[in-house]
Amino acid sequence: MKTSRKVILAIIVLVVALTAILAACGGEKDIAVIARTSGSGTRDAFESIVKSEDGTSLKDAGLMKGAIEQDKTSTVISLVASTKTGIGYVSLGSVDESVKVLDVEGVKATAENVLNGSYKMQRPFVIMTNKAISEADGLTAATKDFIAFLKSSQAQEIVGEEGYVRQDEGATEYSAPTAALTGTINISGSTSVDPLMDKLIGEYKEIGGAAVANVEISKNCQGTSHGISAVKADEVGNVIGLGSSAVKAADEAQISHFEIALDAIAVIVNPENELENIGIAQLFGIYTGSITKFSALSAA
Amino acid sequence: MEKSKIKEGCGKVFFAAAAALCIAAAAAIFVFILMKSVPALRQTGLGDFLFGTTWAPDPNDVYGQTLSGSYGVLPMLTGTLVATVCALAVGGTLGFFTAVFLAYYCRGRIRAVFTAVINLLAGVPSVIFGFFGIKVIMPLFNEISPNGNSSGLLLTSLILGMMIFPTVASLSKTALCSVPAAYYEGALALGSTRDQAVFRTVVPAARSGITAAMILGVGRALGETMAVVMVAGNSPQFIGGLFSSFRTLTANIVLEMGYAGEVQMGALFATGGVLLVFVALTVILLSLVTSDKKTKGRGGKKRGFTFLFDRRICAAGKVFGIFCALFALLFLSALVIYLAIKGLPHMSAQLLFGAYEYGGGISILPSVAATLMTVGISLVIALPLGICAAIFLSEYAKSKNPLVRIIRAAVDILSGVPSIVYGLFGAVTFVTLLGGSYSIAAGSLTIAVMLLPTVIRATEESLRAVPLSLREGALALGAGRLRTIFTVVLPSALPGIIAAAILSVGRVMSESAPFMFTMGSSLQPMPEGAMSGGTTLAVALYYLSGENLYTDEAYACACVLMLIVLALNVAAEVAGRALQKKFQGEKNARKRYKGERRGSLLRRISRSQEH
Repeated sequence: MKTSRKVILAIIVLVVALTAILAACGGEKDIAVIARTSGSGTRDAFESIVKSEDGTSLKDAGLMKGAIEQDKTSTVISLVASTKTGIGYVSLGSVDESVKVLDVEGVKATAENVLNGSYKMQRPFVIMTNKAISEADGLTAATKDFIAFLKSSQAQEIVGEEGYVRQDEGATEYSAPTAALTGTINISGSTSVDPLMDKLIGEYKEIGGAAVANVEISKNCQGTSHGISAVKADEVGNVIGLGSSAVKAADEAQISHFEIALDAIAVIVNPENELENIGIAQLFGIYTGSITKFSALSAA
Repeated sequence: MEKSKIKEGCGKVFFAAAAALCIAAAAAIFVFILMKSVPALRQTGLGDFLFGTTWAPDPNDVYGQTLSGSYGVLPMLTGTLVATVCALAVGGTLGFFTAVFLAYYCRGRIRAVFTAVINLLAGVPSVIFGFFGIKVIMPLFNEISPNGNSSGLLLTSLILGMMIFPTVASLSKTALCSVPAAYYEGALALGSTRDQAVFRTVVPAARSGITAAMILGVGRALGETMAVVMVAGNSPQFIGGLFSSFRTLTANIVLEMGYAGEVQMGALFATGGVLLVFVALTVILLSLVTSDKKTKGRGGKKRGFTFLFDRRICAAGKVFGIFCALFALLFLSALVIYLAIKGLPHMSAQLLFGAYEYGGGISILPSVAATLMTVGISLVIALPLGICAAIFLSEYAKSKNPLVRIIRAAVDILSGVPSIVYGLFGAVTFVTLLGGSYSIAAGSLTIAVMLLPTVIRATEESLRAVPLSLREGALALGAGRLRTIFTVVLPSALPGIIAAAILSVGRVMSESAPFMFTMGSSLQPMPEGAMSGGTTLAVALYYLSGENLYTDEAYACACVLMLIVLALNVAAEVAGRALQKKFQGEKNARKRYKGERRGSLLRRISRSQEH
């Protein structure tokens, strides 16, 4: 008696669960909205660019509740790659073939389109130093030399090779210093700029040769704001900060900076998604949660 | 006579000091976290912080001005609670039944295989668990999720459950194996089936050890960050269902630490503080539960759940045990095969043995060196301290002594403190102490503190397992307490201590959060010594997978990590077996050998027991 009642109960529970699952499977699924965590340079740039038709930026409207937030570019890419209804945004330099890059307002995400300004989703990579020290010419010789290299045309070659947009304006030829330099340079800041910086340091060591062989470069990247605080706290004049969004007005007083490259933010979807183009207002709708299905986009 | 008394006294004080160090460590962590979080709490208000339902920080907020962001952690608090309970339901069940299966339903080669499986799983870094979850399990679950993505509670529980599973299984197994065989035999003699003997007699007798295993499991689930960050979805809102994205307290810290402004930073420390209080509460609650049962239980008349011990149900328990062990094997093989397919083709000579140059090829050789150094330094510190503390707790301490209760609580709390909080603690204490720059030494010290509870727990359990009669025999033969400990108790507990060392090595290998703020997180050239910075393999893996440019290298690195864990396991296993064999061989030889020697006290006792 007792056992049979239990069996019946179990069957009922199973049927209910199965119906729920089948119901969930049927019909078109909602969009899985994937974002970066607050404070990320990429998110900062994305949310100030994406605006509704009446001009409200995503930053003011706020990200929808229930969006998936990730702290790393690679995780965003693997999530979009494994989710048919996923949408996300990452640095164009990081995109691989596992995801599809959408055109924004009908413009392809390419270097030329970023440079001529027709591709709207872009942000600068900045190199920062302590303003008080830089203006008093207090940077160490090794740091000054490395900054000179970062501003050079050779550095811009690397920027171009790595798939970012060059900032050739004002770039000069760099040549190795005549006297051998020593000392340590501490680099910290944006994780987005980190891979590019790796290549740049390699090139610097190659061009500089014996003259910079004894310059020790220590690099630790944990986010743009880490870089900002390290630069502000610099007392020796050997700290270089990396940023992946424009320097805020509040920080201008303490930080000297220049842009080394422009990076496009690519809007990515799953390769199986038939969508090719997306409008900025549509992105606003998706990231605030008012558009929940891809079919709503193609209909509009 | 006087001399030996002094020696005994010194020994006791020494062991007690080692144990008291745990209190100091736990206290230091609390003080440090509270100090950092009080200003932020004052700014936001404790009530608004704990029960606020919105988390929308503004990095520009500074102390002393009106806040423009909101800092409420209630959604993360509930998220952590629910995820931990669900993970324990998955990992605790799997671990317990696997332990039963390992201890009583298999032997010889099968047992060795499954033990190796568990040890290996314990060494798998959380980053790998996270990636496996995203790449393999998530696509399976995506099919049944309403928005086509299964980031959320279900996936997190499963991944977290699999992560705490080896901890629970291996410690429960130790506890089960330490139950005297007489219990099992007695139950059989009274007419129980084998299954009933296991589930009615042995399991209740091992209850304290199994509970301890569960506590450690809960600790790991509470403190896990990297894998959770990858699979939970991280939206700071209340859990709305199995597939809704949510955020845990630990994830909150690791996600925003790199970008935090002044008040936000304080709020994140306060998040750590909440986590600490939360861990302490759980530990106190659990210890109350276990001590209650201890006084009531043990041969008492408990009729409440007798139907649970029906023969068929016990037999079902056995079948379920086999199923759990097979599931663990399946999971591990899936993981290993996946890593091998993804990683092995990219294992180039440059990656393994090349020199690391900026902008040139990537090499993980410096990371391997840094990892080995970290393992070495941290074990040299944590093992002796942990073992001494365990000796104090198991050999000297009377359980009613308030000091001992405090030490126990401190150990439990230390084991529950999330690794990311250890990282922050290390960054302020050890990094500052060692001159302010990231170094392998600072990282090793941090992880050594973190290993203490693991070592103490595991060693204590295995010391407990040494029969009391051995100690009594040694004392009766005139040996002092110290001599009894070093010649009788410790050698018998050696396999357990080796298990503790294996667990510790696995932990150092798989942790990444404590190193990021103490040793550095970018790949670096070969370390020149303990004072230079470096990355362990797990951190290197995290770095390599960072911007999606080095995914192939990351998989290769993961393969290397798995191979090292495998090699370590084999080595430890071989060493343990050799010791045991030597031990047994000498014992047998002694039977025929009449001569007596100093230092063979244990053999003398075991002989006297045989006669």
